[in-house]
Amino acid sequence: MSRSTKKGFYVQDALMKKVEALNAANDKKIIQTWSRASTIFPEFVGHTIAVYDGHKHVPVYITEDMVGHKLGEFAPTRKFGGHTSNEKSASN
Amino acid sequence: MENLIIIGKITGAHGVRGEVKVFPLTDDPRRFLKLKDCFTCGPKFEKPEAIVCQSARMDRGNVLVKFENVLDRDKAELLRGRFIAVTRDNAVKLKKGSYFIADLKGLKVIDDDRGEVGVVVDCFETGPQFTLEVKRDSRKNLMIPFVKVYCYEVNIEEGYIKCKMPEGLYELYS
Repeated sequence: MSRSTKKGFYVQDALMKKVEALNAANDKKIIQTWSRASTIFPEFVGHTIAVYDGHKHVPVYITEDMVGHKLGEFAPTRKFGGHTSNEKSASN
Repeated sequence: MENLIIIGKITGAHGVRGEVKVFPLTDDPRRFLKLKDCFTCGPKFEKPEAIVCQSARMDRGNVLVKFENVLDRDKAELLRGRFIAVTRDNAVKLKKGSYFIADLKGLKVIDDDRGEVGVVVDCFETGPQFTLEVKRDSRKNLMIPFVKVYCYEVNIEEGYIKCKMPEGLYELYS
């Protein structure tokens, strides 16, 4: 077994405790975190986590596809202003 | 709502036969291959001039476009920095539940509990989903994940987005 496999995926203890507490209470309150390095666990699915991007918290709604990724991947630290009216679309 | 929508920016001339290099500002750069009638204009749609696209081909993420009546490099150089726009009728057809980001900007955001909370000023990509940035009067901008769970109704004609914010989101930006 390699060292990384033995250690397992990283998740901040405080964050995991908050998610478990919300799951136990069946609550969907937003969770604020600065831990961008935390891995998204299946327990997080359906919650909204506000991830710090360096100067504000960006709310990220966790879906199944995000499991295994790090929280920081969904809160970009740089922002491109873009052009006023281009043909790019957003879907919800 | 503007009648024109920008699909690319002309970044320079290519070759000596009047082709221009275009940086695509659209989700589907291959749409240039079927482009016919379009306009060249400034970034805020200044001085729109009708122009006909003769041919287009892909080139490492950019598009090389040949316009009618642009026959040499000198004329192609004059187009550098201009934007290519199309009318709404010629814009790509979006799937249900998809909206042009330009159309979302300026929409009022109405929360179920709080009523009107502000106006959308930006919509940016955060991985697989989008996030709306909502400007409020004399308060910090609010971020709302643009997902069906929270933003359940979008009405561009009437100019509003109805949403149900998760508990604690409003207080996060107060």
